[in-house]
Amino acid sequence: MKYLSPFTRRDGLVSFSGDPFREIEREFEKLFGSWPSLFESNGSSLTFDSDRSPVSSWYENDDAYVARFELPGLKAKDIELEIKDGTLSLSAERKTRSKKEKSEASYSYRQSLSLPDGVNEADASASYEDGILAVNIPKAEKAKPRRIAIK
Amino acid sequence: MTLLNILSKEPASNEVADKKPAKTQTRYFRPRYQILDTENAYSIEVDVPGVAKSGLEITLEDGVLEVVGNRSWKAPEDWKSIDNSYSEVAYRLRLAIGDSVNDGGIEAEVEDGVLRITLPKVEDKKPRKISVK
Repeated sequence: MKYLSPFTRRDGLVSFSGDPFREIEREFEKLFGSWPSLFESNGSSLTFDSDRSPVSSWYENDDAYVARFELPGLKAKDIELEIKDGTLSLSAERKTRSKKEKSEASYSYRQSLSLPDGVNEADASASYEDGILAVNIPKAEKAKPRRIAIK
Repeated sequence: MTLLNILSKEPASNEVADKKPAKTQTRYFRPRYQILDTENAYSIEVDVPGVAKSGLEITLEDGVLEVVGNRSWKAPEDWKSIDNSYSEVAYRLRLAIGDSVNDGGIEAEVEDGVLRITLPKVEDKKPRKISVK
């Protein structure tokens, strides 16, 4: 029996504990057999976080603030973006294939951010490409840097 | 000026992977990914937001699949970054796939920042039913 079951602890008899990392580790072990040294075992899963704030990066230039949100796997029409009273709200639902064949899983991205003073909310614009949502929020005229000539 | 107050921002979910030797200065994130195991193939889905088709390099060498994703967008020089995100860092994922995959049949496509790689299983790795007499 010993020789027939060298991998039982990893692959067979341990019941799923509800810990996503445990399950994904088992997936790797099935896939990669006896090469654990090459496992990227703390690689993360696409499906298990329920409400997740997307990774974002922010820039400022003379005319605007620009936010870039990482939202892979969506279509532009599935993203809801709202700016109201100095707050930017973003929500989107992503569908992914689940581990069970032919079924779907989904999770949502959700985030609310306070915008700085002196922005022109009405002229904000956004675009979505290659999984990145770019939001451009123009500065109000009075907040732009102004050169002052020295006489 | 008021600093942007980013509410409920979680720490960057991707850790910074190892650095290459100093000469290239390239830093990598390990992207999020999941592996789906179906009867005939493994399917790997990798989140690579910001990477277009032209920015992807996928290689298979000595049983190790390497995916490198370079972003197609860079902030113009006169833009000031106002948080310390890693968002301009390239992605790299290395997976040992051993000999369970039919190398010739590997296919990849990228859409909306998600890369899907399909790795067909070699015949003798497919599940086989053994009938009980």
